[in-house]
Amino acid sequence: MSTFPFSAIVGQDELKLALLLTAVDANVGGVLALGDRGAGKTTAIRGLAALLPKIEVVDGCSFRCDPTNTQGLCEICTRPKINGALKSKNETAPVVDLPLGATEDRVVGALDLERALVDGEKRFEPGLLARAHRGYLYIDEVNLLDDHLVDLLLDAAASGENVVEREGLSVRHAARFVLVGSGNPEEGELRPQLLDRFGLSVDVRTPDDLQERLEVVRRRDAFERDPEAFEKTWKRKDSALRRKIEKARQKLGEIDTPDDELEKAASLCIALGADGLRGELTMLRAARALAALEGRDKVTIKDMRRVAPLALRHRLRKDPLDETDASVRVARAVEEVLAA
Amino acid sequence: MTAAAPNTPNLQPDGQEFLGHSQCSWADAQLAAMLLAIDPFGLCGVRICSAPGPIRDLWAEQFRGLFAKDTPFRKLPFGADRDRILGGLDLSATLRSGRIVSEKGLLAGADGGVLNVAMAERLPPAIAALLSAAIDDGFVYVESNGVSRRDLARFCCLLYDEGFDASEAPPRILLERLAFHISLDGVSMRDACAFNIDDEEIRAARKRLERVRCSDEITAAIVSAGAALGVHSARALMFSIRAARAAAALEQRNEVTQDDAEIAGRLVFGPRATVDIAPPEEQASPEQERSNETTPDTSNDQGGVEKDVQDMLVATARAAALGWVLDKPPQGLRRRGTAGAGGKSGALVESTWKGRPVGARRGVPQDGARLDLSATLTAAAPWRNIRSADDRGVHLPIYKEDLRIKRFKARSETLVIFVVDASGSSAMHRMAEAKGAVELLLSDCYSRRDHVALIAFRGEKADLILPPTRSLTRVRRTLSALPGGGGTPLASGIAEAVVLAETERRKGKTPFVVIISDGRGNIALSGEADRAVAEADALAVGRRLRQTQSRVLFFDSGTRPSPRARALADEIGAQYMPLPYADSVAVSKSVKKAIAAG
Repeated sequence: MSTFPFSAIVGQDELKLALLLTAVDANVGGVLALGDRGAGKTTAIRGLAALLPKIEVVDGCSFRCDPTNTQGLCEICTRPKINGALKSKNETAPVVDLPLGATEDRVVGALDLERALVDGEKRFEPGLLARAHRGYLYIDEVNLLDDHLVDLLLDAAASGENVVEREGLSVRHAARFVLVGSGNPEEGELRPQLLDRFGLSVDVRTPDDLQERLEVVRRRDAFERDPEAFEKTWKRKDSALRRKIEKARQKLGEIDTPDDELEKAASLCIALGADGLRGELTMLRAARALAALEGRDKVTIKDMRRVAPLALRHRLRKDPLDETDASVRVARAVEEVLAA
Repeated sequence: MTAAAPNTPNLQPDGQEFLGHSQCSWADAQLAAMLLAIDPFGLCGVRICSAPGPIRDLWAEQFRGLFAKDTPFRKLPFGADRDRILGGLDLSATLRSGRIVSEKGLLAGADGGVLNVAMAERLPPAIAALLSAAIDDGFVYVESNGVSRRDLARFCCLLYDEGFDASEAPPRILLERLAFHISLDGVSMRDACAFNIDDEEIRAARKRLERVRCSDEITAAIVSAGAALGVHSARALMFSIRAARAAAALEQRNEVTQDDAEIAGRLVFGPRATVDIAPPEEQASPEQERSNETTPDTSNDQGGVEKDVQDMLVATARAAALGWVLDKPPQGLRRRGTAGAGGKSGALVESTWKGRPVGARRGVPQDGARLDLSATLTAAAPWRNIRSADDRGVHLPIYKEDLRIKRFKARSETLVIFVVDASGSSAMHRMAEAKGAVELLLSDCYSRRDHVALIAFRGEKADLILPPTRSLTRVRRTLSALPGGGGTPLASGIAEAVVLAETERRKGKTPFVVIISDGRGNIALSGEADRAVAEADALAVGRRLRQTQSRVLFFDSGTRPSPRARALADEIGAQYMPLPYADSVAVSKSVKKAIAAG
């Protein structure tokens, strides 16, 4: 099946930037994309899936263990006799869709019914969280998802593991993934506690510019008419972007963050009244990923300015009687505190 | 470009176009059917707003005739569960044979054909999400309970919507993904006739479709018309171009013309045009100029054609949009469904998948229900010796009737319905405070999952200004410009609340009504200005409200507590509170307290 290439997406620079930052450093946290329908949220995340560098996994492991990380292996991979000869293979990084109707057992995993009924064996059947390990978990309409499921997802995303205690099973496995949620705030809002758990947030708007809109339609049309040819046209750009991500990942550990910049990030968070330290931490990580992506050695004030709206706009305390858009409030504070 | 006064209200009808709407509706419904038959999987489907009846049946029958005899036409039964829809474990076959047997789902069964969804307004969002994913991907993917299968599922979706108004509509996630929305309610039996086309022509058009081109000028005109009408979704733009192409194919042309674009504009943009758009002339012209400047190869001549097409498109789509708005039956008491449906006081609803566990019952673990393993084993255990005679070698044979699923109790969501007097001199003040109360309640109720709706009455009738929502964003947008003044149709306001309370209770919510008024209605249900009739009407609908068994709070906003308001509150069975200044903090506090007490 063909996918609309990531590089061919017109506009949506913020969304693309946010996704690329998480591709460089998964620790930046999830991405929340709120806004208009049909603006290309789903296209962007599907395009990203095709773009991500391949990952090395243990062949035959249902939890997609990383053979280079001997500490984080699952129970089966750590068994001595197998461990001696762990075979590895390259796989595409997973981007798993979480359908709106998904039930808890499908998300966390459940008792393997076949084995239980046929052999009387108690075996765990991994769920969507296991499938998303080392990749992305995408939820369209996250604001319509049941609260207890959202809680569960955010908890797993934050702790990096999935703990299952049900139907006589007791299983614990690694589940490190980037959570991407999208939704339209007109149909219901997320609780502020949940908002805060997403690393970055993006306001997705349909482009106002006519030419840009026209280009969206033209490319989409070209893609629908001949997907293979369209993919070929954009292949080189996509590969270049992939190499950029790979390089940035290697460079990430060497990026220097001057104290001056850190201090300014802190004062920005204070000026905005963003609760907790999560805002500052996300800003730091995102700025670092941005510097790495652009091949620089040091985080600059410019990086901070670019990531500030992404990292902070969903962390402002809500005042029901203040109707100022959060993005506007952040932009204002950035101008005051982070003057270039 | 036609001259228009800059301050014309939006979607103002151009008389002629409006008058022609009812007749042209069947023609449009027919056209939508044909285009859909030409490009069924690209246009994805249609929502048909209509009460069940001969007209709808005729349309469906004629639509069927546009397809080859062997095309699958499947129905999505109401209440079909996830496994039936996507495919999955065939539980009885699995248990019988002792190994996993999977079956194809409904969506895969409809592959290459048409999926009919009846009573789409009651479609649960979770099921709508499944359909939407299948429409996006063209296949269904199942991986659960040891089953892993992927089936092609490319289908055209017919959504039969029998809802009365915006509060009863199919999930928007699905509506967004269908190209057309038609309404058959205004079509009279005289206008409805057989489609004047045969499947031969449709087949020829289908073949031609691949070769049909849409020029840059027409594409640009369609895109800018979309912008002028407030249609922002890229999906809608793609639909309109596909529809225009199908229209050209129908006319046996290889090039999309103005006429085709007009059809696309009417059918795709019409129902999507947002009402709060600026007059198109103001908005479109600067953009148009810019587009001419920035496109180097667009000569003035071509720009002129593009502009013409765009103007014409905007005009027809606006006319269609207007018809769309007015086609809806007016709101009022007569569209009430089953009377007195509020049998349950229903603060607690039994559920098989959320809430707190309260034991097990016999059932199959599907559709989200969770297997209660120990209860299942307990149920099977006593039969072990008897059954072992048949099932040799199995330690503990488990039959389907042994399966037990967990039961949960979930707290149902509360819907707070505000009924606010927006008439007379103090209207603005009262509405502003009501708005404040709504916002305070909403900002405070994330954790409790309450929804809020607002009905305002003034002039001759009551309007559902804010359909049930939990979204603060939406509340702000809807309530930012509040109308006020005029007579006091109190009875209509209460009637509207009765309808809403009943509808929402059927959906499993617990309605809670808050009335803010001085109790002095002077407009009868009929819209007539007669105080005596108005008061009798108010008492009558008040009794109806009592029958819905909703809890009601009556805030008397008059300067002095009035016996009339008190009497009405008693008739409703409401808790009466004099509140001469109707301030938002006090209202929201009392409501919160009352909900907590319930």
